[in-house]
Amino acid sequence: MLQFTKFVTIRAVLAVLTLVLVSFIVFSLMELVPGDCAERYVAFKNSQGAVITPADIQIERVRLGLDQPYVQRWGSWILNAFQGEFGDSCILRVNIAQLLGQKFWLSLGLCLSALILAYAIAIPVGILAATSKNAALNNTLRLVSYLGLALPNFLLALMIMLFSTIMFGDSLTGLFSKEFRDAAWSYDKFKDFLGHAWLPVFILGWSATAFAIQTVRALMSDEVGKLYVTAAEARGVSGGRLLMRYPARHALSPIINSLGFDLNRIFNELPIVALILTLTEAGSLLIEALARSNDQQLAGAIIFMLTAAIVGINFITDIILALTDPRIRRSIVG
Amino acid sequence: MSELTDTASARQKQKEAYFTASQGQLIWQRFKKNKSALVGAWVLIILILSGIFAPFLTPYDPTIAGRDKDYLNGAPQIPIFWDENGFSARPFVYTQERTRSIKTNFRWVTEVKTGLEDRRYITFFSEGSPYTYFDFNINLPGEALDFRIPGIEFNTHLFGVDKGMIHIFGTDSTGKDIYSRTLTAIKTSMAVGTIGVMIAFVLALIIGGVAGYYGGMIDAVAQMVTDTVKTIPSIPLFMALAAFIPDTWSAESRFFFISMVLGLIGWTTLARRIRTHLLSERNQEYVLAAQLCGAPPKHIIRRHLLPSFTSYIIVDLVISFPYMILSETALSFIGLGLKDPVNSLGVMLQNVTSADVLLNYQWYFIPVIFFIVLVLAFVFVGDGLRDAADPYSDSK
Amino acid sequence: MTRLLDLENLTLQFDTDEGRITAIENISFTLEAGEVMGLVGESGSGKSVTAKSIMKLNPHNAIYSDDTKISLHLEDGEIEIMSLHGSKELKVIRGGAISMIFQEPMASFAPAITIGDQMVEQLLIHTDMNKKQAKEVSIEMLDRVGISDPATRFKQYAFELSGGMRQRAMIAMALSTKPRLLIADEPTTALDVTIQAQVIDLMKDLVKEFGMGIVFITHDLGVIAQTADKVAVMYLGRLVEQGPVREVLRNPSHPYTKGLIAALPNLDDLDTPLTPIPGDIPSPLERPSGCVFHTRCSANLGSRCTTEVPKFYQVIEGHNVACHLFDTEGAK
Repeated sequence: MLQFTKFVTIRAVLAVLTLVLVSFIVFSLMELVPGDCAERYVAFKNSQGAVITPADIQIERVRLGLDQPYVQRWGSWILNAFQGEFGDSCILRVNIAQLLGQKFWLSLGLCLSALILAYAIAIPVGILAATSKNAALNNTLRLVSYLGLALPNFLLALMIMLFSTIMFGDSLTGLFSKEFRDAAWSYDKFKDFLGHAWLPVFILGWSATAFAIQTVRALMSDEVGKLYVTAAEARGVSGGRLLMRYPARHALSPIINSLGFDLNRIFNELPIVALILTLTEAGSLLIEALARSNDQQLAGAIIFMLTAAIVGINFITDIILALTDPRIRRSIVG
Repeated sequence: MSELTDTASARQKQKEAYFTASQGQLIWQRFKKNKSALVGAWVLIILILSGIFAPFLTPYDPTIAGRDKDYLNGAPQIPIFWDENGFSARPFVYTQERTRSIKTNFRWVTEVKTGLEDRRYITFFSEGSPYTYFDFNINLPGEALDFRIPGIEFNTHLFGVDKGMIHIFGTDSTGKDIYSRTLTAIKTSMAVGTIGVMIAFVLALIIGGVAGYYGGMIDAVAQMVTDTVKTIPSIPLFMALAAFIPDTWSAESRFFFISMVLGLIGWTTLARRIRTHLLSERNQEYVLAAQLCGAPPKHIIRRHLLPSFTSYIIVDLVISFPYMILSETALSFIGLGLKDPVNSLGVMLQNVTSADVLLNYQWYFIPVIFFIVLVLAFVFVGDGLRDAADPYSDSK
Repeated sequence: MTRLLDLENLTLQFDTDEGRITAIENISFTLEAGEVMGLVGESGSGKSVTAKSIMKLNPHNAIYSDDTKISLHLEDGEIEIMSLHGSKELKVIRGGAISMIFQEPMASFAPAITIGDQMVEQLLIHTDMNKKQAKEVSIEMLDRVGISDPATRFKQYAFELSGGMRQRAMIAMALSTKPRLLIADEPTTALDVTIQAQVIDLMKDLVKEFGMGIVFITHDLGVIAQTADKVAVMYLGRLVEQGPVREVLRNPSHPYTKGLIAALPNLDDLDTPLTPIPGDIPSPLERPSGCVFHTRCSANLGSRCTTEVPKFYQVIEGHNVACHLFDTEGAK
């Protein structure tokens, strides 16, 4: 038990370290934008009719703490970030955490659903593909996975929009209907959400499923050829039991391992799909921040949160792996 | 009797050829057997060639300069050989005129005239707007680094029309010919992809190579950095980096910068592979055997280690191509990537989400088909290469 | 001694992209209960394929010839193995009446399932014990094969045991269902010489105790000399010589067997040069016509060896060889 706690602690420390490095990259990016917050604020004031002098800019700078050395600013940014506080957006003048608020959880929910959907389909299909001798099935699956790989999600979203506009005159956009958009959460709002959310989850899951099928199939093919499967067969183990308990069970570990990476891929596709479908969540907010308003604080915060989610998932999968794969478990516990 | 020895010696020669075939030849043999990969390779070659020869194959300049003012948001014009006025050996299209009159409530309306005299015949190898090859005009920020190499100018195009302009894929809202833009877009995307892949490759080689070769602390640090970069979702990172480009940069500088950014973020997978491969291969017995034979390190690296992973590298490069292209498309689509006059699929798709386009101008989506085919071709070829290069993949 | 196994005309081809490849041809031998038969040959001779055929364990693209007949004689009747199709029917013999142990003990155990779980599973499939009884029997078996502290080992994973222990555990697992026939596919090849000796001793004890027959596959003539009662030599998918082990080793008749024995290093005279068999094993895609060994045979008789497959001729009672040289009545 003590060893296990040690393992968990080490993993946690590594996760934090990674996040610190990430924050360094993100923070540097934020800093590289020419013109700092003070200037912007003052420019804003200017546009409202006030007259500014360089001295005012300097005062503002000190107020925002922008005259402190880089490392110090970075330090306080991280510390706040870990508590979920990202300060105020320079452009929008709103507290970022409040702005992000729900939206981030919505995004996370959509992406996780897509991931679960992907594997729910991929695991049975992949196992089937690896063990079936049916050539037609194999070829169809190959084609499907190619299509999934080649047709990126945003193109798919575009095509769907095109199609639905022509066919139904409605472009299936948005996460909520008008009346629920700013309402408080309720059962009805949730139902409305589900009614809209199936499309982004489907689109996001599209290529994730294709990848997952490939992965599961390759892993299963590998395992099925191994000696212990033949040995089990030689002992009389047969049928479904042979399949599930032996190769499938062992192919599970690498799959669990790759979950974090899969989520990363899905996060990648989220912003653009969200933009196309005009979803009101963190992804499209990110694009707006970068492309339209050049709001680096907001963008930085979103990127950091997304990465934190991935690091978190990686941490969890590491723990799960230690629990389910005796090879790893025994090597730590000893 | 001599017949027998002829076929026997022919078979012997064949066997020897098989045993002494180089790695490249063996891979090619296996690749050839894979039908879908071959089809993919042909499609890829055709598309690449059409990209390279885009100016010749297309009738008009894809930028604003080549636009057809009379035919905005025009539908595709398909050449036909026959209509009610009779058969014609030469393909033709109809004249389309924009007129405005009291009949149409003074709104601009496009009228199609189908009279015999309104036929516009397609001409081949016609003269059109000039284009140049091997013309380099490097315009980097800062005057000192600018230079240009004048190129060779041509002005023959594969086809054109005797009067007016022909648009087989239709036009967009400013009258630019979509067909011309599509082929040029292919060229741009391929160029961006190539540069990005090369940069990623060099970075991966350096980082992965150093990490794999030295191992130990250096490797641990490199791992940490690689993992961190890998964890950050790449498209948001691209977007953040791309948002830096000042608007004052020229289209070409943007182009190079975007390609560089793609490379800067794409190196992680290949670096990891190279590093893992080097670490494990370094200790393999065949390396030891070569060392015991007295082979110098350079020889071992060149003839033993390198061939063992050139195939991985090539496969990885081919497979990362479509990702580069798709990432660039995504970026440009949002408006953070390439901009006019540089033309790519992403740029062409920028206006596609408006309801107007979706309902009325569906031909804007034609380039999408080309791109899907391009990416599919890459994927087929990459997969085929991977299967062909792996000597142990004999699964059926 | 009661007859246990009858193999007649076992011929197997693999259906591959390059066409049908013959793996083994017309293999016939018999085994009595309590007997150890050694199946000897180089890599590629088809010994593993032959062994796996007894349980029909070969891959799906394996095609048996129509006149292949494999009969297992048990107390309650005879089983025609070729008439069993599908894993359900084959379950009777696989792990039940016949058990198999493999060369790589590490690779034969599922890495993420405890040894105990795998042993109990086998017992539950083949007997009507309940879990508790199965566990007891398994621990008892582990003890019987000489594994110390069997109750703890029962709960461990394969990677936690040493090489020798793993092999013993595999033997324990194979024998827990009290099979009549044990197929051992190179069980000692991956072990150190000292462990090898222990495992061989263990197997001999168990044979005596359980009265089972063993088909012991190996390329190591020394191990055969110690363990087997009779030996069958295979080359490129065919049986070339068989007989009692002492007889065949002292009086090797087939040129191939002679070559094998001559190739062994002579520990008495350390200065004599090694004499390998000249030439290389032909690829299975290009099996020589007539006698499969003729391409490397120094006693090649010319056209007869090239065109005619030799039948088995007797050397002395019980010792047969498939070589034209021994055709005493044959026409020339």
